[in-house]
Amino acid sequence: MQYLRFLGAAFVVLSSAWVGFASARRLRRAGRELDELRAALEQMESELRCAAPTYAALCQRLAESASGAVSGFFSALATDAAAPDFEPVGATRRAVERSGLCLPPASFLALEQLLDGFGRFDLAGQLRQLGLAREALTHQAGRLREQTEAKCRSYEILGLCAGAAVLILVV
Amino acid sequence: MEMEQRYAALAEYLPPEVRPALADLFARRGGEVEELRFRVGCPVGVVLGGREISLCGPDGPIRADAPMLADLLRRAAHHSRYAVQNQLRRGFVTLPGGHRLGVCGTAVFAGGSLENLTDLQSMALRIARDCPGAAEAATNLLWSHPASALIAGRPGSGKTTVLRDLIRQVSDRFGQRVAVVDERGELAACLDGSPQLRVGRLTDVLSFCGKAEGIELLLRSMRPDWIALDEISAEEDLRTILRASYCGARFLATVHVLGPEDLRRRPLYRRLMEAGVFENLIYLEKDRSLRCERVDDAVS
Repeated sequence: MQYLRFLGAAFVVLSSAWVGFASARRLRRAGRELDELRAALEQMESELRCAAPTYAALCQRLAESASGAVSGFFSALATDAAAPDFEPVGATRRAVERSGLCLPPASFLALEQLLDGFGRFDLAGQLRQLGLAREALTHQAGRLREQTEAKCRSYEILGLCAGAAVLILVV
Repeated sequence: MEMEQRYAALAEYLPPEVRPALADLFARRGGEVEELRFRVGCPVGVVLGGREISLCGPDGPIRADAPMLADLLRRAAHHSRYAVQNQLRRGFVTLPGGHRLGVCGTAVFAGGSLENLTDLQSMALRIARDCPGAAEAATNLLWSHPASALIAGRPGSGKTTVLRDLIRQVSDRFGQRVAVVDERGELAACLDGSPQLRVGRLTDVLSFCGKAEGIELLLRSMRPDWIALDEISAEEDLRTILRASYCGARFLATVHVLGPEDLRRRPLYRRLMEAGVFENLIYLEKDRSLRCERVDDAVS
């Protein structure tokens, strides 16, 4: 009986801690993916300046260079864009959902503004749009980096403390 | 079946409003369709055998509007206007299969040069036709006298089609290297490096490059036996051809003329003939038959 109570207590603490650690892991992942996305946009600029490939070809190249969810995101965009009756509006959202990319809301908005209207402008205009998006993502990445460690520690400790509090209340 | 395949390849670039009517038209008269014309506020036109008729749906003529033209351009550019910017500056976009979409609208200039076309008013989708054997008579002339050949004819007489087949025949039958300056992307219509129209296995294609610059580049890099170019129309073209002729390359080229007498009457063409670069003349008659002769015979 004592053994079961001990097991239950451990379960409460660990599951609560897991929630806290998972939140921290998600936050760190968002930071990593944001950095990868910024690198991809840098590559996008180079590709546009060098060969100006079509939207679908460009996304395919970015998918091949990136990894993980960022690669999945651009791969989903490339597949979508290659379809005959491709509808750009909403494409970013669809690709994020399919790839499981984890982005802060402001970063998602900046990306959506860039990609949902991609290909409407001439090269100079497109590069300007890209530059604005990169600036926004860089700003977001800086803010996220400042906050990440402190927030992650908070989530982890909060998780453990919540578990301990529940345990005390129950016991 | 070929018409169905040809239409199927083109369909994804067409606005949805016109697809059912065009699918039906291609099934019935696909071999005659030369062009599709879209003009804002007017019925969509189809050019069949040189004559334009309105494209009709179940409710009557299908009218084109500004959103339809914008959609057509967006599809032609694969949702990447920047990717076809250079072509748009020349007033057209080349589609897979070699079809060419001519664009007309309001010109936007920057720094003294045409940068963009906006407020689209009309578009002309020219359907590419690959006609193997179109230059059979001309090939026989070249076989007996392998020297530079000039193809002359009225606008729309089929000069580009004959030139393309001649390139293919020289490459495949004669086994000689042909380098093509495909300034407007009409001869080979390369897409991702692959010619959409048959130009032969020993043919090198330089797309969307000016003729003068293209000839120099090809001579330096590809060591061609023949150089092919469409529509000699400028002094600079003539000067470059003359220079290049001293490097041993022979030429296959076309010129716009309203009649054979233009070759003597118009100053540029007169100088072209007097230069002696072209020894073979291929004239396209009104019924699209070829009259092939030596330049000496034609002039005399």
